[in-house]
Amino acid sequence: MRFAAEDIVKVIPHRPPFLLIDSVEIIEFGKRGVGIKELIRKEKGGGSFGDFFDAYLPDRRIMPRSMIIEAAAQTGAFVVAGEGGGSAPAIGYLVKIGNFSFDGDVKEGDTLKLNVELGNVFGALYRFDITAEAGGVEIARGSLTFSVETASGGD
Amino acid sequence: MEDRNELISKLRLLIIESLQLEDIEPSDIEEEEPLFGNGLGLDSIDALELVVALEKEFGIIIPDEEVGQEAFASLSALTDFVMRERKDLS
Repeated sequence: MRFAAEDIVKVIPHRPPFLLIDSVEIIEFGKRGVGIKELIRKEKGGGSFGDFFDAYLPDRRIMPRSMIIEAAAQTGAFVVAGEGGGSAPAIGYLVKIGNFSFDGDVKEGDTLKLNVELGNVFGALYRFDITAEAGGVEIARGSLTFSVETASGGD
Repeated sequence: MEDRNELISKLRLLIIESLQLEDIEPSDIEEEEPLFGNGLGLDSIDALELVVALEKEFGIIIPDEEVGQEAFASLSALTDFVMRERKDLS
C-alpha cells in the first residue's frame, strides 16, 4: 500500500525541505517498506530541495550521500509508526549508523528507493537493515539503529 | 560438541569483532566481569549489536531486555546462556 507525503507528515515530524521522501510503499507495517524520492529539479527556490543540486557539488548534480541515510531514517520511522495514521506518535533518535557503504550516486532525475527492513528490537532500540537503489541499481547498504521515545514518555 | 572453554574463546572473539573493540584483546574480557556499565563498559547500543551477532552466529534469539540482562551479566553468564539455548535448539 502506497502512502503519500500528506500521509507521511501526519506520522513523522519532518517537513519540507527536510522531508526527504515523497511516498512510502508499505509491504508490512512494523516490518518492511520502501521509501521513494523523485529527484526532480524543482523550479528555483520552490519545492523540496529544489536547489540542492546547485548547492552541493554543483557540477555533479547528485544528492549528498549523508542525506540518503536521512531519507532511509525517515522511511524507517514511517514503517514503524505509520500504522493507524500516526495515532501512536513516536520520536526516534538515530543512535548508530552501522557499516554503511556506497558505490554509486543518486543523480538529478533519478528515483531513489530506500528498502527498509526492521531487524532486531531490544528495549527502546530498533535496528533496521537498509539498501538504497537509484535508477534500479543498488548504490548503498548498511544498518541504522534508533532509540525510540514514545509519546507517553516510555514505561 | 565443543567444550565450555572453546565456547568462551569463541564468544570473546564474537564480542570483539561484532562491537569492533579495537583496543581490547580477548584475554582482557574476564569471565566474571560485567560486560556492561562498569567492567567492559559496553552500552545498550552494543547490547543490540550483540543480540544481532548471537542470532547470526548461533541462531539464538534474545527477545527482550530481561533475557538480555541475564545473558549479558558477564562472559561466564553469556557462555552458560548460549550453551543452554543451543541445547534447546538441537
